[in-house]
Amino acid sequence: MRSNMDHRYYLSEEAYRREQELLFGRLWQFLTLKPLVSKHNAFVTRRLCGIPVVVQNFQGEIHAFQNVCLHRQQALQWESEGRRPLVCRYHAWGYNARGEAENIPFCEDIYRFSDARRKELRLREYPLEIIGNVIFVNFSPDPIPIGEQFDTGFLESLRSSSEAYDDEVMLTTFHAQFNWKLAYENLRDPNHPRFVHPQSLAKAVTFLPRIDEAMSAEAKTLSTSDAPLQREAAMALMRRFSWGGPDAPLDDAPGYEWHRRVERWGSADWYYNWLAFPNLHIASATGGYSFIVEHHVPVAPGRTDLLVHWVTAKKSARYAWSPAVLYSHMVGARTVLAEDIKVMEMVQAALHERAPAPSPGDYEAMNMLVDKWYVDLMEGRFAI
Amino acid sequence: MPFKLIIGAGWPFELACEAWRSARPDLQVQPIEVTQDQAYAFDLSFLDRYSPEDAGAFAAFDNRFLNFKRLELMALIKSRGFRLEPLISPRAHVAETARIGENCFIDDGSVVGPRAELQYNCFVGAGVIIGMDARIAHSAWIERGAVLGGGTRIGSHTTLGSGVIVADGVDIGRCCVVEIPGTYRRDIPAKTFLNPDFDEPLRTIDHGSS
Repeated sequence: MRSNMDHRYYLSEEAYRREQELLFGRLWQFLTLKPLVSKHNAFVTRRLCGIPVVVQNFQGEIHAFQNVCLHRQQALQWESEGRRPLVCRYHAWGYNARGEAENIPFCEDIYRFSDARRKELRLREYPLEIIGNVIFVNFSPDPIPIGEQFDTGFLESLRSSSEAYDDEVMLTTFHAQFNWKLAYENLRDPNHPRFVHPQSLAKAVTFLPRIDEAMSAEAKTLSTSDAPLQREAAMALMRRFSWGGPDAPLDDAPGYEWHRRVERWGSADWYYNWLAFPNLHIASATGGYSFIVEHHVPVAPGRTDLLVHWVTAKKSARYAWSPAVLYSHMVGARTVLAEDIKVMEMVQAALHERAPAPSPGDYEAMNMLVDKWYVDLMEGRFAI
Repeated sequence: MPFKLIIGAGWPFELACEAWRSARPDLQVQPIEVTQDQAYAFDLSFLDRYSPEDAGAFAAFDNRFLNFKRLELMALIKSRGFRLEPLISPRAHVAETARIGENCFIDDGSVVGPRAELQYNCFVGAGVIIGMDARIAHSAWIERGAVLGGGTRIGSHTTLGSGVIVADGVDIGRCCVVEIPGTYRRDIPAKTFLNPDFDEPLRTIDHGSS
């Protein structure tokens, strides 16, 4: 098989802008985890699709707004996570759950806004979908129903597993020099761990590449066809790009003392994976005792910010050394992440105009289907 | 000659044995290396052979798990009635008005200023300078050469790496790791991790009540 993926999709500014508009600007994408905004005035800020966003809790209601004050365009919240009212630090304009500028100090004396103008002062709000403890946002003026992006089985698995997340979340960001798509091509490739992670991940779990004959035949047919995907077929195909559940048995499941202090999700000693198209990956390398939530945020054609969240299953009761559990596991996860990042940065560095097209094998049928779907979207053969 | 049981593993254990012999030639140092089982639990049944009346003890372990393992070891020994005097190198300078808690280790060349307080189970590496009125909460781990200004506050189970300078009056919260050399002039919230292997600090958010 030959992939239709052209080097431009990884290198070109124009393709990057088009991707932001046609894909990220239309799909539901991960914004944050609910435990980070679980209390009144708790907030998270992110920059997605070039838009600064704040998601904040207002007396239990969670809303996402453009994180820009309507007065002088100051960022309303400055920190990436925190807890304070939605009040601008520049001239103290305060906003409510509807995004209205509810409090403008000295409004009548010095601003002299008419009633009509006051009513217009409302932050741009973005729709949210909250699945268990996972919050998705959509920047489209006409968002598709989330059920059109993810099938019900996937949404149920995501809801059920994420509801097991604890409230204490550790997070950090890696600034990687590769196109975000490489990460997902890599995550859909079970043949890489034994070569890339021989001393880390592959020691704990054996991922075996399998060939799905039907999917392989479908991928060959589609990838060699000039016929464009029709929208309905394209959306149905896209729903297959997200999946989740047990992926491989753990060779020697560790039994840490802290496992007794959390409410495990499920009972199988398996490595779990969830891929939520386009750019969210969740894994449980401990058989449901803990979860890593990875959000690959495109920031340029050759740059991706990888936000990593690490959380245990819910604690049965607080224990003093839970930060040590989070930290030690995040340090362990970094080893595997750094191995992947290194490989993908070298792939990105090798890409150029005359680079050979990828030559995927039958076991990579899902990547081939994604490639076909992506090329048709980018070339305007269908729209989300 | 009274006994001093040095109980632990790894280089801190070897260091403590040497340091106790040097600091207290009047004591008979008895090194006892411990291991952990598959569940990472210590087996201290060997202590049945010793009486707290005849021997003091010292727990010497590295700072894994934010120094909680060393604290666990110390607590197990203490629960058997053993006294765990601090170990202060004769080559360290500790002000008379400073207070040093149980099972602390102050290594060679360190300086602990007047009225500074170190709670129990702290490790202070060689050449550390701790300013006047500094408050170091229990189980902190301060690597060699770190400098803590006057009036600093270091939370429990916090690690400060070599080359870290904490400016006067700065608070570092509990369960932090600060291992990127530099001068820190602002407070650092609890459960923040500055590790040079990561591009950005690791932060911990916990709004919940579980």
